[in-house]
Amino acid sequence: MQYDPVLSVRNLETHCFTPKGVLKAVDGVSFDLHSGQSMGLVGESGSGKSMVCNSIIRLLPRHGVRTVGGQVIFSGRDILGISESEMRRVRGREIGMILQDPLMSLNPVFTVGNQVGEMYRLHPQAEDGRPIHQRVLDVLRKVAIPSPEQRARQYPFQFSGGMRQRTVAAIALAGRPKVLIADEPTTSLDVTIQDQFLCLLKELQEQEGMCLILVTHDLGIVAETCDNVAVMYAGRIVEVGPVREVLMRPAHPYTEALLRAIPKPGGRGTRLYQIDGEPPNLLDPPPGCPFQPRCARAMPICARTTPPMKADENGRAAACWASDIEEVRA
Amino acid sequence: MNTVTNGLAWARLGSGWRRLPIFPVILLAPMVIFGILGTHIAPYDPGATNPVNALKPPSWLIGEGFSHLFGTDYLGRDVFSRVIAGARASLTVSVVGVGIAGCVGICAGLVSGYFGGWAETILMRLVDIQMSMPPILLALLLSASLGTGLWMVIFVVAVVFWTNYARVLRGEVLSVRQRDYVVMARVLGCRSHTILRRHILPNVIDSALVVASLQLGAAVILEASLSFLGLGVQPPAIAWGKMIAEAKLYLATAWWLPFFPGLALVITVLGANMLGDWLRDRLDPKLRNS
Amino acid sequence: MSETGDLIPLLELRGVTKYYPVKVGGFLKSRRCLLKAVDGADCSVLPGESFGIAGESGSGKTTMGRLVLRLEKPTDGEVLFAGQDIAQLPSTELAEYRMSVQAVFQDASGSLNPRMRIKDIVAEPLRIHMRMSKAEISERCRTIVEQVGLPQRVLEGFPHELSGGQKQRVAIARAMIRKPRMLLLDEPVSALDVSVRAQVLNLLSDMQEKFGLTYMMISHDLGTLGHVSTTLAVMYLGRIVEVGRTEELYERPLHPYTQALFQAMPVPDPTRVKRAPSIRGEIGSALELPQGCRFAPRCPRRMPVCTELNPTLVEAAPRHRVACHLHHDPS
Repeated sequence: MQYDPVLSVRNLETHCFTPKGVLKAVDGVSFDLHSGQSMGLVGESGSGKSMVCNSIIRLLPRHGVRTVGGQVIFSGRDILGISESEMRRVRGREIGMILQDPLMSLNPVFTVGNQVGEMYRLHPQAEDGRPIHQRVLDVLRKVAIPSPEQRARQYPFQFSGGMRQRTVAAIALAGRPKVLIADEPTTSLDVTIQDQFLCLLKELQEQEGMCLILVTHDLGIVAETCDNVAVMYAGRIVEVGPVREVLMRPAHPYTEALLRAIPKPGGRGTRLYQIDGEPPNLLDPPPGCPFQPRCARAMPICARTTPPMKADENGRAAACWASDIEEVRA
Repeated sequence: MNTVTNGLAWARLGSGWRRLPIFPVILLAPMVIFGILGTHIAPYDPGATNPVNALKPPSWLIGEGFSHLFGTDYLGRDVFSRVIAGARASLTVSVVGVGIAGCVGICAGLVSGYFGGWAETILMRLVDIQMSMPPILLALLLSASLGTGLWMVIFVVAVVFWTNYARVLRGEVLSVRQRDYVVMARVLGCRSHTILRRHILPNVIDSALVVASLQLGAAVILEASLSFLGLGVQPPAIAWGKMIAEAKLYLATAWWLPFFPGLALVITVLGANMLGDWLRDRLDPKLRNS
Repeated sequence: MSETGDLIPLLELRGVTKYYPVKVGGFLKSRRCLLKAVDGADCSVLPGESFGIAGESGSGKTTMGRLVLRLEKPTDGEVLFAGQDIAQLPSTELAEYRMSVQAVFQDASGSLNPRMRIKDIVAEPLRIHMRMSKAEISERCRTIVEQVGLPQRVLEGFPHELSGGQKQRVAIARAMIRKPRMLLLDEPVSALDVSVRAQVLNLLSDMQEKFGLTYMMISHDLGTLGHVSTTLAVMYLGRIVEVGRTEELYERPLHPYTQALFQAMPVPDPTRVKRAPSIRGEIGSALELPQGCRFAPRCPRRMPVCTELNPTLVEAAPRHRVACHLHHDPS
């Protein structure tokens, strides 16, 4: 790529220190996000996809979870190294976040307008002289909340699930972030509401020229919303590339198995492709490739050495000894 | 994230002492032994007066060896012997009283939480009425109208404390009965009493234990308050609360009079709370096997 | 369903209605309302088939399940199992019904009592009505646990020691141990990861084949329903809006809501051309139902008649019924 990425994650390592040992929740994750791109971060529960996001914005859930290595380069500097007060300026203003449960991310005792306006009060932008109230209405309009004047005066409990998630999106967008991280934003929504929300998200992303990181477990959502996809397994990215390429021609056996394991209409009577076993216990990961004990194409080398990421010139990469990606050497 | 939460549970268990109740046992064992053996192991007759020897500080403080470990009171009675003798009444009142309160309160909580309807209305209004009264007033009313004595004090403790269990348990039952495993038990065709016994009670009992361990202390204090007002156990019976109440005139001059029964009380309450904690962890299979 | 005359439905719902009285409004201005969770549902489940119920939250699909399990009694209408109204069953026959119809719920960890060992959980159905020796009970436990693909050692453990998929297998083992005729599956795989979901769905289809079970599956996930069910009913605000053979419904959905639902379903196919959502807004409240068709306020093909008359389920094609004015033949 000839231009610099907006966000570049290099060898990110976040570990949980438990009395039973060190759990490598994120184990050497790297990816680049270029201007205006959207990337889906896909994985099953425990694969570390949410932990990657939390590490990027440096909001780790509790004590004993630390980012121990790697870099997150955002507008030319490593934001893992900056002070907490500088980081606060980055959060919200430059990197916004939407969490899974909208009811949990809204404070029930303040009006919606108040909560959306908080972003403007925290980060006064001198260039815009309009009153906060006006700007709140603008952003509520942007996320397609009908009759924002009345809605801004209401409390979260008066909103439906989809509207609450739009409000959360409005709060995230209020700071006009360059990167928006959405962590399973539609898991608690119904399918028709999910569809509407994802369309809105995509529209806003294109309008504002933001980068989007969409964390999800649903490859269908990725196919419809993202440009690129990174598939995570056991704290690592096992495959990354343009959505079309990865979903049509998966290079990693895990991606392939995931795609084949999705129940589809009309599949009655046929057995689903199933991945036997369970994701590994990260306190005691298997030797070599973490997917090797469940992999249908495992070879002797897989249990010995962890496969390196092999990347081709199109930004397609997979960490598998069996993948047919032709590596380009820099 | 499963492994993470498991790790958390493990950490909550703490290292070492909570696995075996060594600490609470060390605290409670002497009190229980005092309570059972009582006067048999006391160095002096707890009721024997000796006016010549009145209000002596602990003997080891004034270089008189171990004759009166905790000193003597205003009648020259040995405080150590009286603390040992008082354990029986204090422990009986708190353990039996809180136990009875627990049985009644747990039943009330289970019934009103699980069945609801008129039973709930009646029980919970009763609880509300009782909780709106200061407990000491209620205890006074009961003691004044029913008389005094050890069993009366136990009865008063039971009446005063059952409401806490009923309230806490009802709330817990309300949440547990919504769980899928209770619904499943109905689908399987379990009868109500089986559901209550096998599926609800084991999942709410730890809250009852927490209430109990907190109330043990409160019961000893209630006993003391009643004694203070002359409505507790009657002389010549001895109880810690009564000893503290009697010592009120000598607070400035003879600190050992309230101090040692008070210490016994604190140790008992602390031990009971720790035992409650430990029991709760023991009863939770999530914490037991990790 | 006259063309299936020789097959007597195992389960039949006739005009089943469930209203809950609720209080709405504030402290002073509260008024009593009826929450119409299920409002006149008709359907029949044939023996050996998999009957799917699709719907969003608030559609009444969970209440349908509770009615079938007799956790609730219908306000009106009948739930017939093998021709008998389950609301009227005397207690001995109710016990038998409880034996014939079992359930598996979404939240596997929630449906297993955390204080009981797996062996006691699995064996519980046997202890309730059956007189069996301990040896027999543990033998049955071992067999069923093997059949659901769990190692024997889990029997001694507690639910929290198992993974999500294993817990769901335990729930299936418990449901299957008394050899029921029908299983009600309420979102059985929604909480599971994709790779584990496939395992559980395969297990369910093996079980059905082996024991000739009838399934009633409730889900919001059209992919899973399409994979499992032979007949599919789509619910919206307490009413079945469309019901028919699954393939038929997927190929030729007639109700605008069914169409919208299928369109909104995310498909991991990057070649599929994504169209803008055809319906806006959200499912209404079952407390304040609109006059006429309940879907009318969101319907992209609303006609004047839709806001006046509530359409009934009519046969639009063989074994395909739909409740929509677009498909009402005036003749």
